[in-house]
Amino acid sequence: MSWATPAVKRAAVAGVATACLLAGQPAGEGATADNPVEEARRATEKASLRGTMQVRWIDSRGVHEERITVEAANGAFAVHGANDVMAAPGSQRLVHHRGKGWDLLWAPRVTAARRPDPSAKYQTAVVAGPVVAGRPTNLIEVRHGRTVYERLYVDAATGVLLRRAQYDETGSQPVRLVTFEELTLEAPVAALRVPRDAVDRAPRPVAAATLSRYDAPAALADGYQRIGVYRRGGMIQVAYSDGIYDLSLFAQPGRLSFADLPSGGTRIKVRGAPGWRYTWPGGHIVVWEGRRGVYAAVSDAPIAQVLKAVESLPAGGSDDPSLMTKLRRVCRALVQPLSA
Amino acid sequence: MSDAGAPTRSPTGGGHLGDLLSALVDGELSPAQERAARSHLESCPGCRRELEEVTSARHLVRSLPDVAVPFGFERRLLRAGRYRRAGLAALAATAAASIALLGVASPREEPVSPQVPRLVDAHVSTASVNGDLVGNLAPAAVPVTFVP
Repeated sequence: MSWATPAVKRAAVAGVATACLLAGQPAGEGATADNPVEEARRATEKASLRGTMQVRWIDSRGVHEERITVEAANGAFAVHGANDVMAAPGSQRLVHHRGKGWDLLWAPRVTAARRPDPSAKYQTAVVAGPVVAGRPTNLIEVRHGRTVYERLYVDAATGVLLRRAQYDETGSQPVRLVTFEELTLEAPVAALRVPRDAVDRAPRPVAAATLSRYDAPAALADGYQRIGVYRRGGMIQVAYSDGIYDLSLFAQPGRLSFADLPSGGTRIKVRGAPGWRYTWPGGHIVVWEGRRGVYAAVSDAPIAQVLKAVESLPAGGSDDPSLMTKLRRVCRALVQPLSA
Repeated sequence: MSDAGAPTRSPTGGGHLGDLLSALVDGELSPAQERAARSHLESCPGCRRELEEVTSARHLVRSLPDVAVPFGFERRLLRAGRYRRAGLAALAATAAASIALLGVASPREEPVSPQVPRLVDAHVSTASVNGDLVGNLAPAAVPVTFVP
């Protein structure tokens, strides 16, 4: 569905006009509510900048903060923390973990589908925002009904995203914040070197029609549309989006080894089966064992949406192991001590 | 305490006594269950009617006349018992063999522990291609660790 439908534009203009009347201050150039996430990405891809950022998130243990540095030049965008992450021309995405080499996680050969129109689920409004990292911003507020889910602060002059704040289900408490603290735009940044020795771990596209409807349904609850199916090593990754948030569903054959899961998770029920939930700086992870293997959902969406989407998977796919599988496991457990 | 006119909660947790009625008539309930069942009956006309039917059926069956056993019936019955024991032994042997076969011959499922940090990397790289660069990639620079 095209972003720039007349209805979307009318709604955006009406939203801006209403917000301006209420706030008394016009939004700057370059700010629209049509697809704020995509527009911010395009602006960042063209930018030349250097700065420091704060990443703050809340989990069961409290509030966490990390500081990272960011630079962008010649169409590349790099983030430096304990890990190095880079977006390079040609849609390349690379990650470097400390003590290890670079991994190429997305390559030009892979085409990503467009994300769905967020206006089908969210309402957005644009007003003049506060100063962030010394720069005037436009504030794009993303709501679902009456609840504020996100506030995006984009640079009024260039459209670069300067701050992204995600709120809890009540819309009152920020649970995740990514913000520039210092920023120099149009900085004379040396051209970023794209590593040539990265290990190719980019996915291979898979035709969704070759998978069962249980493994890659076309849609999940709450407006998540399938936008891609990929094979990454021994796993299948199904990518979903609702236009604002993304959710990846990973599936691999086998039996979940609970003992080897990272500690620090919260035990939950997922589709009637035991599962684990983790919080990371960018969102949530849910892991569980289903009928056809081990599943994991990774997303930046609020946890309630993630769980709702997972629960909406078609029955018969990622459910409890089948009776035959359970019977085989019991028989193996009985025989194992005798064959050891 | 139940509302006036509404049946008390059945010991089974459901609406009515169901199979417990038969057990009540045969004296197979525990004292606590029997008290709960009788308390339910005091306020549930439906279960009282069903109790009467179960009790009537029981009396009807017990009132049937004895039947003269045909000649050789006892011997035939005992022989059937021996066959049954032999059959049970054969069944047990077959079950054991099936368990052994399923346990040994079934393909082993590999234990899998998802590499959570790698899943996060894969997700953010995918999400950032058509999505937000800053919001997706900045958190990925922070190592994914989980502390109990």
